[in-house]
Amino acid sequence: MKRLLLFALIGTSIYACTDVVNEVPNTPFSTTPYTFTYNKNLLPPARIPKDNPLTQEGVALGRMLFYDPILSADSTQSCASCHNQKDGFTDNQLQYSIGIRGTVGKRNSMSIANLMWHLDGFFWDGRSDILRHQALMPIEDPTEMDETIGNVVVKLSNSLMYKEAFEKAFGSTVINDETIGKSLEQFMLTLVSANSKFDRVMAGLETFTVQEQTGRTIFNAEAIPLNEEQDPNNPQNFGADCFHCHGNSLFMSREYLTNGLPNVTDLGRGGVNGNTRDNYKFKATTLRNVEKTGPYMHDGRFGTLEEVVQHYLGDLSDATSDLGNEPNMHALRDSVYLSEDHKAALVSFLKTLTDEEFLTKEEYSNPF
Amino acid sequence: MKKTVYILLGSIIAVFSACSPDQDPIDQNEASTSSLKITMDHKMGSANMAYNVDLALPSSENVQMSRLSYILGGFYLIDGNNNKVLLKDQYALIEAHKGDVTFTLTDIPLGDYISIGFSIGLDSATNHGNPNQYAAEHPLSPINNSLHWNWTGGYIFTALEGKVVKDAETFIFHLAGDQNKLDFELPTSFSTSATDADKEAVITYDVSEVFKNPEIYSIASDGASSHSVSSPVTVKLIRNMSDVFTKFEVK
Repeated sequence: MKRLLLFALIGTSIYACTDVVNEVPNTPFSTTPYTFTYNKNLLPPARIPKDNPLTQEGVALGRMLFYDPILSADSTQSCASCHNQKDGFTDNQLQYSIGIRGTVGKRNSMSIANLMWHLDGFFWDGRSDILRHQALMPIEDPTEMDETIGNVVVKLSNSLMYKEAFEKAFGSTVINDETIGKSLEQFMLTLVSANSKFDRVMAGLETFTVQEQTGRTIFNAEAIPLNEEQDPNNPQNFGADCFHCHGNSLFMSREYLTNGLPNVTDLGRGGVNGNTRDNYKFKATTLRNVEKTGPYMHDGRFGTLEEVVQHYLGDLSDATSDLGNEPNMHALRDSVYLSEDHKAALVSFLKTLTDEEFLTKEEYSNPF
Repeated sequence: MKKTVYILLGSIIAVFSACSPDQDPIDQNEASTSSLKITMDHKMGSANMAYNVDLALPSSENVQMSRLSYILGGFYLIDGNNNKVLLKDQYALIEAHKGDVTFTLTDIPLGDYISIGFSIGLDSATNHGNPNQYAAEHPLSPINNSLHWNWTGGYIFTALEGKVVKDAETFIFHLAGDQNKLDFELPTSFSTSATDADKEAVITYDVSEVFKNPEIYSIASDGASSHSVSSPVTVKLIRNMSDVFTKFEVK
């Protein structure tokens, strides 16, 4: 009895030390790391979730899923239906996206460039905390794909192509919501726009035209009430104050902000968190590729950049939001004056944010 | 029977000890450096600071503050022998209106300290460095702090925003510029050791001091926005801010 006990415990001791060996699968699973090639002086260090490192296999799978209408109930809608590469991954110049069975959505399709650096949530109203969760929500939205994740899992599991792709990416043919979300997350994280004229100028490879440089000055200068002492020809004196909400090299903000639009009924951020001070506030989205991402604003009410600029030049007195709670917009209301030349200069600067490489890059395109 | 129990105990010990070849022989509780977790406690005079509620300024104007953001850098400690211990490349972003008021200084050598120094704002090289060197969550990342002018144009060191209750007119004070970095050195007394390395402290920031001492600042008469790094508005507020920190207390 004693000997049996001794053998049993020594055996347990040896077993306890061999768990690492036992975890190695019978068939070795390996992936190839995905490497970013953008200029690190132009955008911040890559920001990748520790529990979802980017691999070439995972990104390839995510790309397939992104472009495959298999995610929708009737196989008509893919993510790419409303996020078209040539439009900066927005929706084909449509004010509202058209979902399954012709259902019209309530917001304008957002750019999904440079999502890697988004803080504080996704969507116009930030209702999704992390990208892999965001990726699944349109699948189950009745106005978009109107499918269940369960059905998607079944459809993908019946596909030899997808079973192989999931095995390559995650080491298992078992498909679930986590691996679907993570693969879509991986692909979307690779969508980096960092080769516009603006970037090339910052890198010292090109120069702005005089008009573009004037526009840049206006973009980055504070809105100041013009008085008699100031030179109306010097845009430094009366900037459009764009940078407060579209600052940094990503031209976006982590904040949810009001932009002084009238007749807004969509509660935006306030509709998500219940805070009335956040009513009518939306994510200050990136201006990269803004030339291609129209129409503009959360509801796509403006068709051109000129209309957007004109909106901010207005008196904003009919804004739905209380601008008394938005000092930066309030200052804009009081101060912006731009001549026609300066408006044109501002728009010309915005167009330097167009990144043709991003709009046409093979690795972002439809793989089918 | 007794022998069986010994065998059993010995084997159990073997099970638990057999898997620890990497065990560090040094006592894990003994630290080689210390840390200081600091909480900024914002006051308006003697009252706790509050946002989007009515507050009286020293000028007697009633206001609602909606934003108080600032950047701290240039941290150092003075030890018991009057040596200056620089805490390089450590920064803090305080967003008081969001409740983000705590940060931790790390890699502090063990020892006795008699004062702490820091700046509201950044040295010129850091201020005008490439902001893309910082990860998105770093205090100096423009994505994180929304306090960056443009490209290498520098940071807003303090952003104070709100509205005057009487007429709902807003005020925006964005205090920036190399010359407007404010340096502080506050007396303290604390010691850290290998077994007592991690300390906590509270720094009191009296917002009312921004609007008084040496001069009362009136939004109505002095101005509601700071248009440049050298405008009279900026100059007056920066001068007042030299004594905003009223207490440094290590727990």
